[in-house]
Amino acid sequence: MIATLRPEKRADVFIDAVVRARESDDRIRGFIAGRGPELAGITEVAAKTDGAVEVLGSRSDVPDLMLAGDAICLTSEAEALPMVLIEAMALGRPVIATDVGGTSEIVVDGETGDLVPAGDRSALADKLVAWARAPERPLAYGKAGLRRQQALFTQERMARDYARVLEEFGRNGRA
Amino acid sequence: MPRLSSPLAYDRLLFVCTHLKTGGAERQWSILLPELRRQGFTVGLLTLTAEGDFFPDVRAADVETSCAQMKSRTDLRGLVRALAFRKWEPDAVVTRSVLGQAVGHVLARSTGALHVTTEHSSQPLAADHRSRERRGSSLISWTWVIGRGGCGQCRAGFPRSSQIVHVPRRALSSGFTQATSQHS
Repeated sequence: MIATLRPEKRADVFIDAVVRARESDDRIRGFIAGRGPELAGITEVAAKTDGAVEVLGSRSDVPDLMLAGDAICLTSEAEALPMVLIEAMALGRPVIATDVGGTSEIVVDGETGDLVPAGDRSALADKLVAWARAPERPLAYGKAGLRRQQALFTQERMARDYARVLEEFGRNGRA
Repeated sequence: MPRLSSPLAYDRLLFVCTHLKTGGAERQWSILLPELRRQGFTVGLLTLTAEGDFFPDVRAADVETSCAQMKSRTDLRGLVRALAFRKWEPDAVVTRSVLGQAVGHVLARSTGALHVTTEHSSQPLAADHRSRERRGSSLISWTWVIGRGGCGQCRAGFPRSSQIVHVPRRALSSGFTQATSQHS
């Protein structure tokens, strides 16, 4: 999980899900990278998981962290269009995210990743176990996610569309 | 990178926000602004209270950058530093955050520029934030609400609600090509 650690990111859900998943498959471990107002509290909670979850704090090697992970998770209870999912997809990494805000516009459920209900620890834990037992599934998600990112979420397209919308609104807004 | 087919009325784009510290919106601007520059626009960035982790990425991309180092919303010296950016003569001012809106409004009014503010959040706005945004919205040419979820709550009670428009997220989709920056 990579996020600015604010309350709405619900890192506690991630920790709990990893602990539950690890009861079924002890290969599963969780890592949290990021800083924010929740960092101290989350670190304290993770320290009680007997090594299941490790908090890495602020990192400057996020791409390497993403590449090292088997799954990128986002457990937010509110999001707009989370960059971290697009970044993960750009690196061909599979994602599991909560179905909030615009995440479903990024992640095609069952095709480029899995979506779970916000706050549903069991659903996330089940996905983690399923992915660990059938790694070909997240592998396929990663490849499909990369294709989706390259088709819809490039920086060239973002800037071009931004300029186009600005021009359109400018025309309408000026008398 | 090809530009739009017709000459644009908005070639000089000034982006105003509180800072570019960690966060998705800040990260998005750190990618968007250099890409707009690469596509041929003249791009400026004014941060008001601090630079932030992503500021150097933008500065390194030949974007004219400045930080007003405002200590508070009522820091007049800082405000004077911020308003000095009007000499840059933007065609359009894009703002984010309440302080960004206020300073951006003055800059846009004093230069005749279009002022657009963006609201990406899918969360209900806090009451005080809403109140300030409501007051601010009467000053702004357009408010773009990115994603349908927040549009209704932003329109409700705003004096110029017709100028609060929904822009589909994908129309301004966050883009990403290469992971190079510090994150979170």
